[in-house]
Amino acid sequence: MITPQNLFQHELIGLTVEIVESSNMGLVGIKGKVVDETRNTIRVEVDDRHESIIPKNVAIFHFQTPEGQKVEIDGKILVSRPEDRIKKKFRKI
Amino acid sequence: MRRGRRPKWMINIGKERIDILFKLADNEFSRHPERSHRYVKLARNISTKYNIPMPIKWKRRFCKNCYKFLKPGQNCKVRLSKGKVHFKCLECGQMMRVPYEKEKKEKRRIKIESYLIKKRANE
Repeated sequence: MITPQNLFQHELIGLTVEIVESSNMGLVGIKGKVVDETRNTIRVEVDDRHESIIPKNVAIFHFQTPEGQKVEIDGKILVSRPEDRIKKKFRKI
Repeated sequence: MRRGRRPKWMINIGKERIDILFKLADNEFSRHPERSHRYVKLARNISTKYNIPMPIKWKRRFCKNCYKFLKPGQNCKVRLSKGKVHFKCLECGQMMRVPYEKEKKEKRRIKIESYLIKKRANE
C-alpha cells in the first residue's frame, strides 16, 4: 500500500502529480498523471495529446496517493533508477 | 543477509509494485500499447533485481521471447490441444505451452468419488 512514509520507495507511475516549485519557471503549475519514469526524469500526461518530460533534480513535487493524501517531495531524493529506489533509506525532507 | 537475498519489507514493496505495473499495462493497452510494453520491462527489472518470482496471475501475460504485453484477442491467440494451453504471441510468433494435466486429474478424481458415494448409498 502506498503511504506518505514509503512513497519515495514505491511506484510513481499512475499517481497524479503537481509541480509547485522549480528553478525553471516554465515547469511550475504542470499537473497530470505520471506515465513513465527514468533515472533523471518523469513523464507527465497533461491532457489527451500533450506529455511533458520533467527533470527530477530541479523541482519540488506534490504527489497524491490513491487514498487522497498529498505528499510534498523534493525531486533530488528521487534521482535514481526506478528499481533502485526500493533500496533507499528514509531521509528527512 | 545472504548473497542475493533481500529483507522482507523490500520484497513486499517489490511485489506491490509489480502488481500495480501489470494492472496499469492491462488498462492502457487499448489506447497506448507502447506504454504497456514499457511497464512489463519495468516490472521485470524489479523481479530480477530482488529475486521475486512473477505472480502466477501475470506470468502468462507477457511473451518470453520479445517481452511484450499479451492481451488475448488483440495480440495473442489462446487454444487448447493435447492437454496443453497454447499461447501464441502475434508480435513475434513465439508459442508458449502450459500443461493442464493436474486439473484434468482433479476432475477425474472428483467424478470417481461421486460415483463411489452413489454406489455405497444404493447398498
